Amino acid sequence: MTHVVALVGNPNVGKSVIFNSLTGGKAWVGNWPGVTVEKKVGRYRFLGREFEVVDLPGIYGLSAFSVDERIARDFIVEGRPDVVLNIVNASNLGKDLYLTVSLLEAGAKLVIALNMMDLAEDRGIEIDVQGLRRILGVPVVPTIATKGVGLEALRRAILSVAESKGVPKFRIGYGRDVERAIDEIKAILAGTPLEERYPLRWLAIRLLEGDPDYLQRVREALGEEACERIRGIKEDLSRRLGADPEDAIVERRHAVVMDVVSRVVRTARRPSFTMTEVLDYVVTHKIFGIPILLTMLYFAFRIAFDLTAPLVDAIDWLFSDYLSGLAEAHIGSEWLRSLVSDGILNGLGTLLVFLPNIAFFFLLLSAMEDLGYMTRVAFIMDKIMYRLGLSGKSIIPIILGVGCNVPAILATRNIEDERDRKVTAMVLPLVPCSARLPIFLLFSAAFFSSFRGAVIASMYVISIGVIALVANLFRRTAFRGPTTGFIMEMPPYMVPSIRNVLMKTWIRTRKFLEKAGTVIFGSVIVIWIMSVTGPSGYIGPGAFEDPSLMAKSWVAWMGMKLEPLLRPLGWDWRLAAALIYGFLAKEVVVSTLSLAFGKGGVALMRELSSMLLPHQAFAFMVFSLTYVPCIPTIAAIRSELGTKYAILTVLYQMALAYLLALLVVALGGLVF
Amino acid sequence: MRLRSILATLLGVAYLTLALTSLLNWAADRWGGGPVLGSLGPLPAPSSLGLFIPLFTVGILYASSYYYWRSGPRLEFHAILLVASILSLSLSILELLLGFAEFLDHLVKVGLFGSAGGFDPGVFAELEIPLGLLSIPILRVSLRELRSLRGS
Amino acid sequence: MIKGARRLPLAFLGEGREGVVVEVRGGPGFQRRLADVGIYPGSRVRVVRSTGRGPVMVEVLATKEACKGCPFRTLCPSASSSYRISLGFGTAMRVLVEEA
Repeated sequence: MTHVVALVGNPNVGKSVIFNSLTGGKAWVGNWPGVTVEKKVGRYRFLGREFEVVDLPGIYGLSAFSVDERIARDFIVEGRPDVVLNIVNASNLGKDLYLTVSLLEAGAKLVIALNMMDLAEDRGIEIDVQGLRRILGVPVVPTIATKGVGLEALRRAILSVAESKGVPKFRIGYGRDVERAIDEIKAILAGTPLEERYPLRWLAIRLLEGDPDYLQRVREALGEEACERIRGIKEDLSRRLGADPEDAIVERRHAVVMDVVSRVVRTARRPSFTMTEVLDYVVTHKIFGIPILLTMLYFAFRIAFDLTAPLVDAIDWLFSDYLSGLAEAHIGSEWLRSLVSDGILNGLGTLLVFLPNIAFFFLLLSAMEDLGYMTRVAFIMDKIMYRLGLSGKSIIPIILGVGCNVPAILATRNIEDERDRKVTAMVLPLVPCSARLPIFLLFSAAFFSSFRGAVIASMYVISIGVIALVANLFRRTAFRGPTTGFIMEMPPYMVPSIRNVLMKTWIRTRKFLEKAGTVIFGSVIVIWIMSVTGPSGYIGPGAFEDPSLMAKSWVAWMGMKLEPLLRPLGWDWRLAAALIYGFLAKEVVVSTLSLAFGKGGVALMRELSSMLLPHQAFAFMVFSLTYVPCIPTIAAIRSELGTKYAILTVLYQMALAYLLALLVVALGGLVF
Repeated sequence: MRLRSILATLLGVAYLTLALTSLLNWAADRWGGGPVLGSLGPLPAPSSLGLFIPLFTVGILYASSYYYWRSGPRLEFHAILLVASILSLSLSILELLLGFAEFLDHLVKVGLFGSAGGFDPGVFAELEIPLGLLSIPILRVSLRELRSLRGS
Repeated sequence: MIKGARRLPLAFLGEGREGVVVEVRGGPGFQRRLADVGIYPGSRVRVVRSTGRGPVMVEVLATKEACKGCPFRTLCPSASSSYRISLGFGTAMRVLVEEA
């Protein structure tokens, strides 16, 4: 029999590290039913038993005001997992125990992982673990997940709770008036079908807290009359307390938490400050904050794009020299040889050379996340982002978007304000993702060799400008109104665990590789077929050698249909065809170009630079930056915001890209 | 304490000068022909827009530490020195690694592609590298100082 | 009004100052979201960073209620159970505090 273990905790308590350590990092990723919040499930074996670990979203309480909290609450209360593993930051008990107490009230079979014990120790905090165990009545295991400390004990505790029958007896006394109201509601609910589904006391408290979901459930099960009675009890209580019962309950819960903390926490030597305070003083400083942020970005870009040069060149050699040489020498059939060498190796090789850039970029991003720096970035940027028409929290999806727009759009869920969230999701496709990088790298190397770095950087600058423009436009028209701003926890700085950083990097990079192996591999073959055939029939692989033959192919036919529209920009049908295929995935643009020109690498660059003027090439880069999102991104916007917004995004981007490219060509025409 | 402050301020001035040189050289290279300052003593002068960012950041941190030493509490002074020295040391380690990467890239190009291109060992002598090493004592002292401040 | 106490939005409480939250202006969802991170009438906060018309970083301290009869007069655990939260300018304007 498999035991189900639900992993729950506040954000930033090391939940993902514990998930990875328990399951060895192997996870099935899906979505929770009905919503696009990621659901991660992993498995492990311990002493002959099977365990299934379900990672719940990071939450603060069970109040269910956000989708994340509703998912977690429903899974814990209705899914009835065998064990709920609550991860708690030991250096931050005052805040984290609120969730713990809420879970205990909901009747969860709890195991507490008291994580980040090293950090607590560093802050001079001593925790009476035995005392905490006694007060809460559940196993408490001290851990340091990043170093693998306490995981064995954690597995044991999970096993023993999974195989025990008892439910924890922890209970908060809310005072005479509230208790009487709880008893009255319990009396209404007792003996109804609801009694089997929920712990009655907990349900009564939820109703007093005015949880609309549960009021609805009572209405469904017992009818309107029961609801009226409960509302009456609540109003009665309200009068007696002279305050909202909801506030009284939340406040009491916080007070109980503080009481528990004061009983189990001993500050042996109280340090006058922590390292986090020291670093925050400089990192979030009014003057130094932004230069430091720019420096971090500078480091990240130099590492991702310059430090990887030998790897990039080695991969280039592998595809363009070694493998295609093998194909030329050993494949007899002409068309098969062309498929392998002109199609697959050429198309995929042009793309895979950028693998080191992408992997290193993800590595740095993961490291900065685990370090705790990303939340500081949101803090520093909030004021600026506000002027751009966004919120500080938008910066995290935007930075993620530099890797790939799809997870970035899912990450907008963390933005509470609905308008901020919509605007952020709709401008995210303007963030140059790593798939567009190959286009920039190719064109900047071909046309702007001496200052290609500055040209690539200019793409990011233009992207910021365009985002500001569009976001402000949206803010002033369709999404007018005040924002609620953001609420965000600042976790303490921590030395990232290498294992966790590598795992995150691998998961993110794997998506790129999977895409290269499926969508892009498929597209390359389709484009190859469309290159060797045309409206007149089979042309043959000669098309890749002879441009006049290529002009008879389907690729050319499609590009030519679009050419009149793009002629003012100075682009021919091959560039047009590349842009059409870029709709599948932006990576395909470069692959299509190398197929359409029958060349890759340096030869392709030479061909391009003889055909276009620098400003026309720059216009192409700007167009690729801003034109339609790729299909997976459109799908993500559709599932997050709905079809209407997805269509709106596609339309505004097409118009924007065309106008910007025209602008670049017109301005460039004055110079060249 | 006094000596440390002087060293940090001097480093600040050095980094800011280097940042300005880098920016001017880059601009002159782009629009006005040759670089303004070809070399600083025996070492080549930087000429890059990107490099201006970390040089300026480290420079402004070190230079403003003087202000904190004069007026602010000691904690802030050491906090600034800590971050400045971490950044400057990271910069010199990065530059060293980039030098190695360039060398490896050269080997790849010659060995695999058979191209002739040369490798300039000057990349190992860029000014940021020795300057970053000067930050090591500052890093060590500020860490020690912060630790002793905490204990008290 | 208590003598000497000033009532003002959290956004205007200066850096390094402490205050007690007296009111959170907004709907139940907004109030709950803030209560989840420990900001509700009665909680004590200290401003770590304030950026003018930008976000505010605060340290949430232990509540007064918990301090009643606390055995640690000299070694207060609240110093160690404090944590940091950032609030956007708009949010910080809707949290009213009384300066302590």
